Amino acid sequence: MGDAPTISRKKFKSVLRLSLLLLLPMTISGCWDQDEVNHVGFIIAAGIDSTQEDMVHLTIQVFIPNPTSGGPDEGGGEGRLFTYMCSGKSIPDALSSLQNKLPRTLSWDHTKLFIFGEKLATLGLKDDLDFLFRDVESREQANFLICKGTAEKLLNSLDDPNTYDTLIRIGEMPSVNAYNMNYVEESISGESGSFVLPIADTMSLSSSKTTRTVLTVKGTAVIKDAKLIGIINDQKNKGLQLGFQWLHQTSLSRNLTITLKQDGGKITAKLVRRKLKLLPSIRDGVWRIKIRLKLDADIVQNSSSIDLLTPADSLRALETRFNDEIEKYLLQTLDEVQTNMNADVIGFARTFHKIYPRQWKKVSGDWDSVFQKIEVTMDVNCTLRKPGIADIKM
Amino acid sequence: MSGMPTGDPNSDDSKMQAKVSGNLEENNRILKEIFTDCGDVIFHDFLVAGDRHAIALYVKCMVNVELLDRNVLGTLKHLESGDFASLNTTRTLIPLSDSHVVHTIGEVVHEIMDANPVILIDSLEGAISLGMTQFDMRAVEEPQAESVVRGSRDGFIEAMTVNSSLIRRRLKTPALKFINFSVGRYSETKVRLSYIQGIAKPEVITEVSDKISQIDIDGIVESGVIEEWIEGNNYSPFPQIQSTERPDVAVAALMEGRVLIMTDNTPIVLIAPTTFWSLMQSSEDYYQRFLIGTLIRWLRYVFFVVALLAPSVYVAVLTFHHEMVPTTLLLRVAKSREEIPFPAWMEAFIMEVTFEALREAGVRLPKQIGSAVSIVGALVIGQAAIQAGIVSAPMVMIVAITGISSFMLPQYSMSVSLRILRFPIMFFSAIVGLYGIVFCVLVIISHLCVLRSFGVPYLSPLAPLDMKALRDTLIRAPLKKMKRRPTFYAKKP
Repeated sequence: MGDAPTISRKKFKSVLRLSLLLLLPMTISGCWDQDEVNHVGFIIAAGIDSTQEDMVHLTIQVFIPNPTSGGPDEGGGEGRLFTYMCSGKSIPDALSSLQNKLPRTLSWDHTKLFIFGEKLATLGLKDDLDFLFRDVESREQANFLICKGTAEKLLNSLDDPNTYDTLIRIGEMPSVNAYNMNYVEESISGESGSFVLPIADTMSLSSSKTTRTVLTVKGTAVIKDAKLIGIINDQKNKGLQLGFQWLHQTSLSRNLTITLKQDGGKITAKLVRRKLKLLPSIRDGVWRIKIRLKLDADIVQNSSSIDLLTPADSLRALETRFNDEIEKYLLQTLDEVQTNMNADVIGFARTFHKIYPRQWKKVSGDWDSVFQKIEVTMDVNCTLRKPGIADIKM
Repeated sequence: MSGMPTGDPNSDDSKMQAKVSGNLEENNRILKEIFTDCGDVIFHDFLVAGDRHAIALYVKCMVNVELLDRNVLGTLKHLESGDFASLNTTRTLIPLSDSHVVHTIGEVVHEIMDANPVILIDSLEGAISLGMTQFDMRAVEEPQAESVVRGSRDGFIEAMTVNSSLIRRRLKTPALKFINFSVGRYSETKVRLSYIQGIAKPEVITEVSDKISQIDIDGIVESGVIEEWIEGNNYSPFPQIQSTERPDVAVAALMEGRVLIMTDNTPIVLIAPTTFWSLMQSSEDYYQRFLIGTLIRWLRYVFFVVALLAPSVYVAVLTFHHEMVPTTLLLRVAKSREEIPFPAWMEAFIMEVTFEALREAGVRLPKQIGSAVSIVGALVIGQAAIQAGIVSAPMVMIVAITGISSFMLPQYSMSVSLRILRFPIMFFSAIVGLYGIVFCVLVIISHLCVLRSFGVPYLSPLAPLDMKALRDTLIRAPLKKMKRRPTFYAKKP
């Protein structure tokens, strides 16, 4: 045991030599990708528009901390979100010309929202999406939105002092959350290539007699082959909008209500749980799909004459009425999707691919025409759970 | 084992080897020569049996003089001349339970230095050594460095004999062995190797006693000197020997099959072999109920990682990986970093070094000035530093949490090694970010895998894996469930 120290000394020397060797490449690499947080301008939101032929117009909202504007206790403050605009043949072109003028490194690390203008989206998002997927090292949770008009106008119209906070929070909304970079990547490379994105819009809020414009989300944009093919707005068609929400597989939103007119009053149910299942079948060359939608809902309003608290199972009777109502919305949506737009945004292609891989391979080149011919049946089964606490007839 | 001096470099060996002759004058001369200028050695001439000369030799203040005068000198004075037929006869007549006859000058010198008074009687060869050591010692007090909420309040003191008794009181078995060593050419410090026969591994006992015998040094001042001599790898930042001032910890270690190395004149007892996990345990883990023990143990593991990596991760994330921080937090951090002139790594370095300095200053200062350090410390690491614009508020938080985490480790030696390792990791993280941290952690883990403490792998029972023993590592299983001794420490039954 007496020679143990000499062995470890040898070992120590070899470890020392090895670590010195490992240190050397570090010195030649330098710290070129080092970026202190206070040398960085974080792009919180980016709006992408197309102005003229082959030109991209980029509007970015950059967070630049301004420590003198307030103490450490102050949360959001005015004058910390700066809007920059630049144009170029492509986004990187536009960015590099902007970067040359700025002392801070622009960073995509915390970009929350990518907003595409209507015109650009109609022309095609391919070029810009490729850049965003390839080079931008933002989180994949960054949300993608389409806006009516130009994104520049939308971003510039926001005059709420808490804009940066709103921009961060809006991505956390259930109706926006699911439509992130990961979703777009998956959908574009997926079977159908069609997907939906939420539409960004502005909303006026008044607080202490001043009116502020804040960002909000209204409606759904349908994208096929990276091109905007249709916008479904609340005003235009409420039922269609609702149908999209029911049918969207990844949407986490539970904030869905449905109102019936029945027995001289209104009955409103609020969604609690939702289970969507697509059951494909191919028989005799006919492609069929069954949409099975299971819903749990609570009654939140009932001004009709039906007494929901009596032992007589009036809730069960109501369920069929709700089933019919929901089915009506769904059929309307499917008609729009299948016949008018011919965009498989619900994911029929993926379902068939999973269960009938060989048959799907044969038709995958001609999916659009197959999709239009798919026979859809509905199986909506909604369960009403709670009738509410009190039922006072007025 | 005791008794024979390992060679006093001050005198030549032949003089020390010489027998104590019957000529008292001669003996007196030789001893006086040896103890030249030793003002604390008392030579007391007295007469026994009327006319026979005798000398009592002892070191002042290390001997119970009252007992010596009354029991020994008093008795000898009243003995008949027939009682001095042989030294052994005389010895048996002295009313003292601990006495023996020594024969060489060297032995006499050693006994005197060892605080045993020696009596030489004219015309009798040899000398009588009397076990009457008595010197001032600290009372058994509560250990300063290892305090517990629940557990015994006695701690080891500087006197090794007392320490042995504290252990013996808890283990009333002849299987508990104490092997004595004398280490140090000048200091001749008493070192005791203690183990339980039948539980401790014989190879560990031999290895430890071999290594102690091989120590070649002028003097042992503290057990740390022994630790450094016998540990396997001096270059490792990790301690390979555990130390304690608590008898209950020492006894628990003995019952696990580990050995103790006790050193005279220090309250710190060494425990070997040791593993990474045993250095992360506190005796209180076993005194509290097992759920609490497990919880606290995990808290310690988590904060071990925090203490090691917190500043490095902060630097890496803020310099290279902004996307890892939640946006709201990052924007807040960016705002607070806005007016700081230094890059994050330098900020972290300044703060960590300052904190280490404060800690060191706090340890070394007299207690009366201690509060001054804490006042100044609160200024340096606190709001004032932030307002001065030298460091940012999040950095102060990081340094504070790192400091608290390192205080959570029950073994001081372990928290010291963390302090050493923190800086290279910070350096690498400042150059290459998380990659550097991963690199450092891998190096540390592979080092831990290789490290051994007296043949026991440092990471056992995790590596090599011993599922049964893990119940006292990952959790603290209920005592009823832990029926077997840890196989990596104890002899196989």
